[in-house]
Amino acid sequence: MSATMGGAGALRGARRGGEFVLQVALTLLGLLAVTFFIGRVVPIDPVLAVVGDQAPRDVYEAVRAELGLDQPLWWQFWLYVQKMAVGDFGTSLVTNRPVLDDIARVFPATLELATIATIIGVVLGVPMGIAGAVYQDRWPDQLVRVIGLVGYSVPIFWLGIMGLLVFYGILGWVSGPGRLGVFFEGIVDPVTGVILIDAAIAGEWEVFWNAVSHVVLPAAVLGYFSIAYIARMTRSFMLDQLSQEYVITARAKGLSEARIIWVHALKNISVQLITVIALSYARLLEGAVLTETVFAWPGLGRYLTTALLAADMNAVLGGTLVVGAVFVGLNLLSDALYKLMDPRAR
Amino acid sequence: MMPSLPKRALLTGAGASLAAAALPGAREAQAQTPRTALVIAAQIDDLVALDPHHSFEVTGSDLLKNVYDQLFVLDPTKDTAELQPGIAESFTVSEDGKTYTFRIRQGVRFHSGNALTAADVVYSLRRPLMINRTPAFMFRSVGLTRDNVEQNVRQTGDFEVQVTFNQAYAPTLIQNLFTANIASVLDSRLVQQNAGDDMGNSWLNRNSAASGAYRLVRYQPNESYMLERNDQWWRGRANLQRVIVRHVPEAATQRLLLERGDVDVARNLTPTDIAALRGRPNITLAEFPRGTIQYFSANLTFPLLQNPKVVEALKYLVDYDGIANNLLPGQVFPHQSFIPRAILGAVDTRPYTYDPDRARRLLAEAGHANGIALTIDTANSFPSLDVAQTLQASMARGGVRLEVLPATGAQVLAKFRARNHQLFIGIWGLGYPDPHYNADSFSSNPPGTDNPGKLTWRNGWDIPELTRRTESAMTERDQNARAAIYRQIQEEFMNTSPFAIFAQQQVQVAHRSNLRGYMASSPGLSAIYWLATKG
Repeated sequence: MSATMGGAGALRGARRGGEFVLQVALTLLGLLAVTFFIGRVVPIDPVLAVVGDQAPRDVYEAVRAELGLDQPLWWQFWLYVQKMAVGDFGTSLVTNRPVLDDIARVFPATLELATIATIIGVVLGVPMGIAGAVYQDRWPDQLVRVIGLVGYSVPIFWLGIMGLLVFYGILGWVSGPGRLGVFFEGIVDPVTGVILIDAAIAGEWEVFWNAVSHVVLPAAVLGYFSIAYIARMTRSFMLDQLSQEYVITARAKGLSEARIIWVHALKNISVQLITVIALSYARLLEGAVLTETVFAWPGLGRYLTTALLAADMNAVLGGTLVVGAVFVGLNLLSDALYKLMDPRAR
Repeated sequence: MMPSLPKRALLTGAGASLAAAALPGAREAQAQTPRTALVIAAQIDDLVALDPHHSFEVTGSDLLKNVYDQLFVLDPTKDTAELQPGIAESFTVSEDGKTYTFRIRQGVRFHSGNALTAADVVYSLRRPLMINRTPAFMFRSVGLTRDNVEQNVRQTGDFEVQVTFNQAYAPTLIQNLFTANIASVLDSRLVQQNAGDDMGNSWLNRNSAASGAYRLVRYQPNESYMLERNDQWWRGRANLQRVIVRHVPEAATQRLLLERGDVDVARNLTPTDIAALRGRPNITLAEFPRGTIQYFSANLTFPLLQNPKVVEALKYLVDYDGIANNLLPGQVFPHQSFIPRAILGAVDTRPYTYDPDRARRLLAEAGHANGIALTIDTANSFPSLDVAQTLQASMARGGVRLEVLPATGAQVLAKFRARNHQLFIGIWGLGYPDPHYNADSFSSNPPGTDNPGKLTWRNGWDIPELTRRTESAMTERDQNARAAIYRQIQEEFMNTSPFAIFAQQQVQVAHRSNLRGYMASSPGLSAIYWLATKG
C-alpha cells in the first residue's frame, strides 16, 4: 500500500519535473526565436561588419556564404537551433572566438559585480527601509527618501564618472577602471572566472586585494541603485506589517520594539523582500552597460552591446540565452526560498 | 540630462556607501608605471583578427607591426614614407619587370628560436591567398591568385625567393605593398604545428608566430594585450621591456588613468579632454598624421547631382577651416585630395574654400536659383555625424537644404554600396602605404563591371580616361615620373570628381612627459612601440 503510494508520488514528481523542463526549454526557445528574427530584420549587414568597407564583391559574397546568410531564414534558424542543442553556440564575429568561451569570460565579471552590488544593496537598503518605516515622516525617513530619490534620478553614467574622479582621481582610495591592475593580470589562472574567488583559491592575496580595490567603486555605484529600490520597497512592506494586529498584540504583551521589528515583522516581509531582491539582482546580471563602460569592466552588458552594434548574431543570441537562463534560475531560487520561509507555500 | 540636484548632495550619497579609508589594493593608484613598461589606455574593441594575413583594422596593425616583420619597412623616424629593407635585404627585377628576386636577410630568428629562411617567406606569401581573408585582395590586385601562387611565388635558394607578377609594376608599388601586414613573415614550422583545418588562422588569432620587436604574451579580446620584448631582434632590441594596452572605452576614464599616472598614454581623447590637459605638468600632447581621409561624395546616378555645377557648388559649401579648427581641432588637418600627406605623389593644394556666394551663383547657372534639397547619409557616430551637422549649417547658407539621415555604420555602408544615397559622409583608410591603394578606389572605375568595393562605382562616376591613367601609374617604374602621374590625376580629380575631401585625420594623444619616442601612428600606418623610451 505504502509502496504504491510512494510510486505514485515519484511518478507525479517526475511528471512535474518533466513539465518544468519542457516549460523552461520552450521559454528559452521562444526567446531565441524572437531574438533571431529581430536580429535578421534589423537592417544591419553582418557581412560588412566582418569584411569592412573596402572589400570587393567576391570577398563579400564568399563571407556571406560562409555565414550561411544566403540560406532561407527559417533554415538558418533551424541550423542554429540544431547546433545550439549540442552546445555549439557558434563563433563571435567580433572576437573571432567561440561564443561560449567569450561568455565564460564576461559573465563571471558581471556576476562578481552584480553580486557585490546586491549585497551592498541588501545590507544597507533593508535597514534603511526599516528605519524609514519605523520613523515614518521623521528625519530618518526623510533622509532615506532623499537618498532613494537621488538613486533613482541621477544618471548612473554620471555618478560613475564622479565616483571615479573623487575616490580614484582625487582621493586615491580605490583603484581605477578595469577588474585588476595591469600588472596583476595573468597571475591567477581562471577557475571560476570570478577573480575574487580565483585569487582566494590560489592564495594570491595581493591579487585578491587589488581586485577588491577595483570592484568596490563600480559595485558601490550599482549598489546605490539597488539600495534606492530595496529601501523603498522594504519601507512600504514594513509599514504594512506595523499596522497589523499581531504587532499591537505583541506590543501589549510587552515585547521589545526591536524584537517586534527585527524578528516578527521582518520575518513576515521576508517573502516579498526576496522577490524584490531577486528582481534587482537579475536586472544587474543582465549587465549594466553604462557602468561597465565607465569602469572598463569587461562584462556581459558591454559584450552584448558591442555584439549588437556589429550585428554579431551568434554572440547576441548566446548572451540573450544566458540572460534568459539567469531569469529562470533566479525565479526557481526565489520559489525555493519562499517554501523555506513560508510554511503555507510548502 | 544633467540632474538639477546640487553636486554636493550626490557626492555625499555615493560616499555614504563607501568605506572611508584607502583599500590595501589601491596603493597601485599612487604609483607610476614601471620604467621598463609602456602602458596604454586605448579603445581596442574593433580588433577582430590577430592573424596578420586576416587583420584589416588600424588597431590590429598597431599590434602586428610591432610583433611581425615584413619584407620591407617604412622608416618610422622620417616624416615622408621612406622605404627601408626589412626581411628582404635587397632585390633585383627581371628584364621584363615582372619577376622580382628577393634576397632574404640571414641570421633572423623567430620568437620560437626557429631560424627564418626563404621557406618561411614563400609560405607566408602564399598563405594570404590560401586562407582568402579580406586583405587577400591586395595580392590579387598585383595578379597573384590562389591558383597561380604555387608557381609564381617560389624558393630559389636557402635565402632567395622569386615572385612573378602579371605586369611590370612599379618597384615602389611592390615594395610599399610588401610593407603591409599581409607581407608579414610567419614562422612556418610553428604555424604548421598548429594548423588545424584553417592553416592556423584561428590559432594565429590568439597567438603569434613572429620575429619582430615584441612577442605577444597575452591577448584578451575587448580587454587587453601584453607584449614582451624580443631581445634577439635583428634591428637591435627595443628600449622598453613590456607593452601593455588596455581597453578603456570611455575617454574621460582614459584621461583619469593618465592623470593618476596609471597609464603612460591615453590614446582616444576627445577635444574637450585634450583642451583640459593642455599645459598640465607632466603631461605632453602629441599629434601623429595617419593615412585616413574624410570626405563626402555625391551619387551621380541621382538626376539632380548629374549637373557638374551642382557638385561644384557643394564643394564650395564646406567650411573646411571650421571643421579643422573648431569642430575637430587637433584630430584632423585640412586636406583636399585622395593621397594622404607623406605618401608618394601627395599634393597639398587646396583649391576649395567656403564660399556660399559662389555656390549660389553656380546653382543659379545650373537652373536652381531657388536652391535645392538633398539628403546626406552618415554613420551615427563621432566624427561623421558631427561633420554632417556642420555641413547642414554651412550648406544652408548657400541655398542647399540638407537633410541628415543618420544610422549605424554598417547600415549606411550597405546603402552606400547599393548606390541608394544622395550624399554620403565617409572615412577612408589607406590599406598599404602606396598611392595606388587610394587611386584604385578614388580614380579608377573599369567600365562594364559592377564593383561596390570602389568608391567611384558607388557614386556612379564614369571615368575611362582617368582609369587608364591610374592603371599606367601602376607600371611607371621611375619613381618621380610615377609621382608626377598621381599629381596630375589628383588635379583632375579635385576639379571634376563627385568627392569633396575635406580633411586628413591625425591621432591626437596625451602621454606622460617622461615618455619619449612613442608614435601613435607612423608612415607605415601603425603605432611604433619599439622606439619608445622613458626618462
